Amino acid sequence: MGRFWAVFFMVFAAACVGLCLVAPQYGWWFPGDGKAHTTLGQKIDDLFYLILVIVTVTFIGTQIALGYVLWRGATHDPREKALFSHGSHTLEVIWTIVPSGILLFIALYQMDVWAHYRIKTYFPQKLEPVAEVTARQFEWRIRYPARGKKLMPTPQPDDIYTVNDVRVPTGHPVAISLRTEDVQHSFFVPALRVKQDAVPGLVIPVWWEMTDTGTYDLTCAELCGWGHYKMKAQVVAMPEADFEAWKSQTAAEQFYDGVPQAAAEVAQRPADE
Amino acid sequence: MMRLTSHVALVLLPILALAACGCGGGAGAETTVTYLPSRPDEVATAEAAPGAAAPSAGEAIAGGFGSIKGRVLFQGDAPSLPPIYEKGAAPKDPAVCGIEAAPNETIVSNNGGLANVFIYLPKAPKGMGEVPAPEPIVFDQRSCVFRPHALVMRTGQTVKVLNDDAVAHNTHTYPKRNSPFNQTVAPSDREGIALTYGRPETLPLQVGCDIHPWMVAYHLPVDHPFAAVSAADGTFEIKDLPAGKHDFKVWHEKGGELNKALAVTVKAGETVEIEIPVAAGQLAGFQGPTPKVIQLSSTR
Amino acid sequence: MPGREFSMCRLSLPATCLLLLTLAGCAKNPEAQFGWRDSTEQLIPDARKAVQKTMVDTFGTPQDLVAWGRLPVEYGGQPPGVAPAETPEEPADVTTSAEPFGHQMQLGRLVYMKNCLHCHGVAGDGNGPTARYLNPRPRDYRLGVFKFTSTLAPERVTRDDLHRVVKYGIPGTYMPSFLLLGDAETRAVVEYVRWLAMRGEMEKRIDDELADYSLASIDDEISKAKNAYEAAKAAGESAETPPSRSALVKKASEEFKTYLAEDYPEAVDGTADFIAENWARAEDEASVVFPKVARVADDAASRERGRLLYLSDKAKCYTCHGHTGRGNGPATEDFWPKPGSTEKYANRGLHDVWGNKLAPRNLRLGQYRGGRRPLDVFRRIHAGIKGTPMPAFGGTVLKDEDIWDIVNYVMSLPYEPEVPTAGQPPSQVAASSRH
Repeated sequence: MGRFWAVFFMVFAAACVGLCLVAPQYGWWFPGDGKAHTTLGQKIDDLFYLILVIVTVTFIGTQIALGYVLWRGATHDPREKALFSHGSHTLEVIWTIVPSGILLFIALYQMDVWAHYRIKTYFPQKLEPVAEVTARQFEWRIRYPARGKKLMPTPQPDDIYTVNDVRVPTGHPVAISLRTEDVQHSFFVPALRVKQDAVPGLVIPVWWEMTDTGTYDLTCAELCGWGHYKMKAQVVAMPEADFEAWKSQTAAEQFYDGVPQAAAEVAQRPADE
Repeated sequence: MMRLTSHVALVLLPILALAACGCGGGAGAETTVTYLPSRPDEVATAEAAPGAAAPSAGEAIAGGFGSIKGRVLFQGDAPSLPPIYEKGAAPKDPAVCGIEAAPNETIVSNNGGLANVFIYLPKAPKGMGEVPAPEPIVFDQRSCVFRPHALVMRTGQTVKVLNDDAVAHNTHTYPKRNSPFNQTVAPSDREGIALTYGRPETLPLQVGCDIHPWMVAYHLPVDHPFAAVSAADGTFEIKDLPAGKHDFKVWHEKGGELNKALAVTVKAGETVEIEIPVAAGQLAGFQGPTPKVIQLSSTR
Repeated sequence: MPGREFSMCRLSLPATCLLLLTLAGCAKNPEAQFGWRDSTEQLIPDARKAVQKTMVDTFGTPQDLVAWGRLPVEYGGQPPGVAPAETPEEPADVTTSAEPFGHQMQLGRLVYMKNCLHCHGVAGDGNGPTARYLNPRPRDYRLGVFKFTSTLAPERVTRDDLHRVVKYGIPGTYMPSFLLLGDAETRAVVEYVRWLAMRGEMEKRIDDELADYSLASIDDEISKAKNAYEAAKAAGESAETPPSRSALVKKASEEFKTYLAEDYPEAVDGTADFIAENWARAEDEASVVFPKVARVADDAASRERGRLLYLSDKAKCYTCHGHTGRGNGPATEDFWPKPGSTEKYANRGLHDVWGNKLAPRNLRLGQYRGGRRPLDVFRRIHAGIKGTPMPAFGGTVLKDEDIWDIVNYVMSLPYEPEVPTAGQPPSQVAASSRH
């Protein structure tokens, strides 16, 4: 009976490791195509893999030890006497120092990334917010400054507004000013490894630097009410020139007065998509 | 002590059953869409427009035409209702609306007659041909009072909504079977805005002003010429009715439907004289205390 | 260890109970049903059954939908037995003809049930489970009235308008943006919402036709008869005792039988035609409001003209929206009559046609529910906001240039400091400076 249980537990342990090995090819891994599409995001992924390696080594080691003990316990001669131990000081010291050392290593190793994410003095220099993202139940309202202008803390007459559509340029670090109109929300773009709670009363800068263009899901990661599950938006990264052009076009649509302009300007249909 | 398998069964089975609850139903349930043709063929032939059909065997046009002349009598003492506001004391736009006192036109009785009573046929008589809509009529507002207070018009007839005041009025109708009319009429607009009713109503509808809430009038669009409003002394006349028995509706704003089916027999070439008595008690609110005047804010 | 060991047999009873509880999941999920209007419930039983039968015959249930060809709704695919309309420009598409009839309606229904039902209700009555927590309340489609439209005042809403609302949401309300819904799904749900609105309108208008057969009108008759009886008794005359309610209901049922045979089909037909005509006409180009002149230059002169118009007797914007645009005009303190009646609302202020209290828009917030394009604000002023006391000024009172001046003024208000105006009553000044 004991042998069965020993094998039973070892099979589970082996299955865990095996699953982890095959997971990426089934898509049971990071969201989207598995890559982090920002510079800091890639560092987050590196940290993840570092911890994964450490943890895997530890896991395999401890499971082997467990398996050995189980098997020995299952197969030992009943006449063999148990060894009574009153503890081993050396062992205790070893298995305190080694894990602490590992944890301390991890803590120190990731300080850099954490600082880049959270401490303003470590943000890239001269970081101008490209938009103000206001979370509200249950959508994301975004305010961009007019083309060529800086984002002001209060709304300006020529600001450009979108809903559920965050557009950012690639090629340099971008920041958004995150705020909320009502309750706590959380600005979570899994593919970019960006997550920041939006707290009522605060305007929080969040920055990242895109490494690719593309469209990524933005979801709310803080339970904010009955519509939290559908608070999805998109983050669209495009080259700087396209971004400026998009701003111009959106401004033209936003200031459309119903009378088609000359052919030189953007001609819009009344309720265009 | 139970065996292992029983343990497993006891724990796993309820969990499995619980999980199975999630199956079936909800938004993804099976639905069907059945097509209903616009007009079933059998109905199409039977429902010839009454105006276009030849005269039916029923009331025959060949029977000739007659007229009705009548008077709505007010039984009781003529009430002297105080005006909605006195001259110069209009709650809004006093410079314009206060030129005259606004009369309380809910019950208007002169010489024993009752005015502003609608007498009309609820449906066009069978066998009537299409009668073209007559000329446009005028619906005016002066000193923040609608003139006339009660108006009958034909479906398709243009009602010119005019404004004789120096302030804008927002004329708003509340029909049951037509689309509401809700337009601001410019000050001193003598050209007016055209208002047309496409379908006949079965009961008169209220007309108001969204800026001056005390302004009230009543319209009744009908698709035949056999409707009238009693004059200031209660008299009315309806001409060229096909001979035969007709059921008229009698309506007053304070009494509602005073008579759902007033039977009148019209003889060809003759004028029938009728009197419609209306007891004071039939007019709601008449025997109660005078309506409280709500003090509207005076900052307009 | 001394004592009895824990017997697993003790678990058997609780475990069996738990198992029995889970059998609750075997019951069939309750199906969604179209609820009936109060006015339908208030009819005499014969009339009510007739209305309900008509509604089920022409619109069906949420599980078994009826696609009525008379309505201007695109159900998707080719109706059975109807030859496809072939025009030289658009030959019959091979891919779409393979789709079953009603596929767009099915998709719209599915999207609606998943996303819209919990606020707007199964029948679009604005009374879904979440609605009770929302202010302003979700739209009740059943009057056929939508507020933020691009059409003239008497016209219905267009597909484009509904599409915009679904895509961009309504800021300041709980209507979120469904930008990521996908084009096919958005179009389908817009069609389904139009269908629900037509259904609601149909039910309401038929109820209006049958007003004579409602319990309210019977109660009215009874009270009138009672009054006459009291008056006659007081005058010492003999009078008939007022009839009982059940007697009147019986009488009404008898009359209804005749009505049902003679007039009811025509009434239903006329109503359906009226609804179909109006909804189809909304899609015409002539129904949509477009300014005849481009936006007047947004300079100080135009804004000053707009401000003067705002305070003038012609437009009287200040009476509702307040002298400085805070939405605290004098009209919010008055008692207003209910639409189509001389009876007044119990509380002060303005109301919308659904009976909810409605505050005039605070123009200083920079929040534009119907869209923030100058064209949208122009349309609000030109054609008013349907279902609310916001009147239509275009074409009659204000020229297009005047409206643009007011648009320029109004859109500058969120960025301008608040200054009391001449003629503003002191109470208004105190109120506005408080904010």
